[in-house]
Amino acid sequence: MQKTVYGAECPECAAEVTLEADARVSEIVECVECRSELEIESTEPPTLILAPEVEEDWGE
Amino acid sequence: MTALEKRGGVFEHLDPRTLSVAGGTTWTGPDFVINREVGHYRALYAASALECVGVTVVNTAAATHVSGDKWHTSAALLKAGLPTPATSLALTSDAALKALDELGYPAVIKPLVGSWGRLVTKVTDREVATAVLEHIEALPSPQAHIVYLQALVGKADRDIRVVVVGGEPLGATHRRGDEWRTNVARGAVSELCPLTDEITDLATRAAAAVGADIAGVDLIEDEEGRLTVLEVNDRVEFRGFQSAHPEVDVADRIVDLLLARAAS
Repeated sequence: MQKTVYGAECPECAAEVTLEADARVSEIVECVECRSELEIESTEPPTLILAPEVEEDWGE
Repeated sequence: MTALEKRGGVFEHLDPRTLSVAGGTTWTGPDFVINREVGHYRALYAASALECVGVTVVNTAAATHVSGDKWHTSAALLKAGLPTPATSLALTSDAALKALDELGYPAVIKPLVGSWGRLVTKVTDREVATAVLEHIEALPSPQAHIVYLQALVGKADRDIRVVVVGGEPLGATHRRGDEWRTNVARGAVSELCPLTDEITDLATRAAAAVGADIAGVDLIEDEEGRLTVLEVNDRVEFRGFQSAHPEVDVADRIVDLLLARAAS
């Protein structure tokens, strides 16, 4: 059975952010409460940090 | 990564933010890397550094160098004989103003590096161009002072994105937005576009022209419906494309390519 990771706290607004079963370190997720872009710093324990700011040479 | 796992691939995530490579030493990391770094300069130098120590990188540093810079891309497309909008490169703002007089208005000024439509500016006349070029002159980076100019062509609200993997187009989408910049990052919507022979030919040749094994080729139709190649993206984001093409698993096709390359 896949493990679903719960309980990662948004570093911006402290809301609980639910991560998908296949969430990976460095993946970018969004807090549904404050819409902050967050980066998964760790899945065990589930830890989120603010995602890096977009820089002028970013893009596809 | 999920696609790779399903195929039994063994991999690790190399975070460019913590990556350093000592040239001339023995590299003990992976032999094969797929480059998905979002920032152009980190992507380019990571690829170059890894290749220096014998790693195979997809896409190559050479491909990232060309496709990550709009002028280098235009030059490669022109060299390959591909149709592309009229484009000029001016090395100063004064030269740019003169070049715009020749190119004609409306025209587009684009930063050499960067995407998602950021800082891409439509200039409708000389007065607007003068103001934009004054702002460009005030930017701190020397590269920012080199001005990439292009004629504004085509249908104002849509372009065509073709994802090419291993020389094969996987499909095409129209990207339609509320404004003239049709990036999904700016809210444009991806809709199915038939993969015609012409689209297949242009996209395949464009990806080859910049040397990219994995490419997002952007085409645009002019007022007469003729297709031209706008740009080639080497670290293509395919969320919009995948939504419009549920019949194609893009990640899986990329893994096909990587496994085939690794085996050879």
